[in-house]
Amino acid sequence: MTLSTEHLPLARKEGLLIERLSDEVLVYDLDRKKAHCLNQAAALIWDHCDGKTRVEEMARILQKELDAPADEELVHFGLREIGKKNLLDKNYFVEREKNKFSRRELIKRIGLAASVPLVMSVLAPKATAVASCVKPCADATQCSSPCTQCVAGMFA
Amino acid sequence: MLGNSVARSLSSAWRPGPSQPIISSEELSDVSPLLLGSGAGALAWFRIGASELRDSPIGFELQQAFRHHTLEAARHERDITTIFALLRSRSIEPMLIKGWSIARLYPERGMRPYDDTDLIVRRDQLTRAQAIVDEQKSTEFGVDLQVASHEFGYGSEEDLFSDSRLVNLGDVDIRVPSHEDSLRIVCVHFLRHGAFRPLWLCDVALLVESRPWGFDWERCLGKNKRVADWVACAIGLAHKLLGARIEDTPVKSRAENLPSWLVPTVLKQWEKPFARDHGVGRHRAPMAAYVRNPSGVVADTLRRWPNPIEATVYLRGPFNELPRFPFQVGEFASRAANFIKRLPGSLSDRDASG
Repeated sequence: MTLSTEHLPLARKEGLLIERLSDEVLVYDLDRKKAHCLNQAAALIWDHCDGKTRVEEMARILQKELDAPADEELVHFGLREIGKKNLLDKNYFVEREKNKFSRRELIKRIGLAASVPLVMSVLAPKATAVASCVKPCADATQCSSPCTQCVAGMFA
Repeated sequence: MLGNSVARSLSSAWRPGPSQPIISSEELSDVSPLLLGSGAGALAWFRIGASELRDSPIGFELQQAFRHHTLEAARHERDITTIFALLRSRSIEPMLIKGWSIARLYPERGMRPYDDTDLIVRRDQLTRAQAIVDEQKSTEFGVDLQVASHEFGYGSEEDLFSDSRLVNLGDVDIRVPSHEDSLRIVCVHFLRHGAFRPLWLCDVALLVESRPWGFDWERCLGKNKRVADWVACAIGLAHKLLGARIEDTPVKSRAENLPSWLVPTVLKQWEKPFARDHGVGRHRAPMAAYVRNPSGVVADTLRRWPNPIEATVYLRGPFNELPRFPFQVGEFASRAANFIKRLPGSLSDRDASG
């Protein structure tokens, strides 16, 4: 099937904070307040979601950059993963139901887990709170943070 | 002992490049809740980065912490530039202490999390600055405004500002204290909070090892001999517990001769490195509430018993071989006296608020 350029995948640009690490890309969705981690393969696909690059071209890029087998099915899988996390322009609809391989089936086909594009959620570590109160409380009712230095706080 | 395992998990974690961990998988499994819950998970991730622990389930959790902190840092940085631009537009020059000013020195921005933005403004600008911060709604995280406190051993407000420097963050220059002042601040802060959080000692180690050429030890230690000794002891703890390199520092001798109670006290705190177990985090209710309903007052009073380190710093005492019990009693009594003095006001406030 030939797609016109307006149907080619386009990455969402608004409302995202993007951090590039050496082997993955972290994305924070400011609207939904959700954090995602794209592995190298998913990041490569997402980076080429410019509304101009076709799926078959993405597969070639993936194969070259990762030095691993890649085909259109793999790219479609990646686009589905990326789309599920709302990281594609809302006007783009991946051929989501077509040739829907699972991750396991893809690994079986390709034989290399690292080249399967994956997007996972990043969750906050439990009970992390690293702030400390340095401002002495004005009275005994104010101190709510763990400030042992607070004059009123210890007996507040 | 869990405290020792925490120390081993974090030794040299602030240095760039991976190193072989000196902790077993079982130990790491035991301490990972302490590391993750106290904000040191990402540092531990870097510590195990070159080992097979990296691919373990615990390794995955630590890596997730690093990813989370990396994105949090990006969000914080937006806030920091916003609040600096806003205050400057009203002719107020803030200075950022701790938090980002330290985190930026780590090899990766996600290694050292921070929850809020601590800003120092000049005393005569505080009220105006607070009103501006209270008005604005564009920042996501808390902004903690304060004035230069002598507790941190500053010479004077002007001294602190005149020696500060501007560091670039995106399009905005952020004012931060000099490296000398920063090191003194993190040392005193670590001790006055009872040394309960291992992450803060990593900050001490990082600042000691990343001293720029020409670092002025005299300025760092300050004119107050007591504060200077506290700084030396905090650096000594970073050396003893985390392996900070102190060979070429003037505090080497003091750092290698710490009072015998100090290291065990810190290790004990690190068995519970969470805010909920320290300071007012332990309190079940404000003390004034017990005046009218005394049920549970004894247990909650005992929870207010200070740890030896915070008691010593609170009373501005020396770190020597003398027992700490008198300091703990002294701090407890001093706070109790303050409470009694403020009680009438607190009760009328409570009555007024219904």
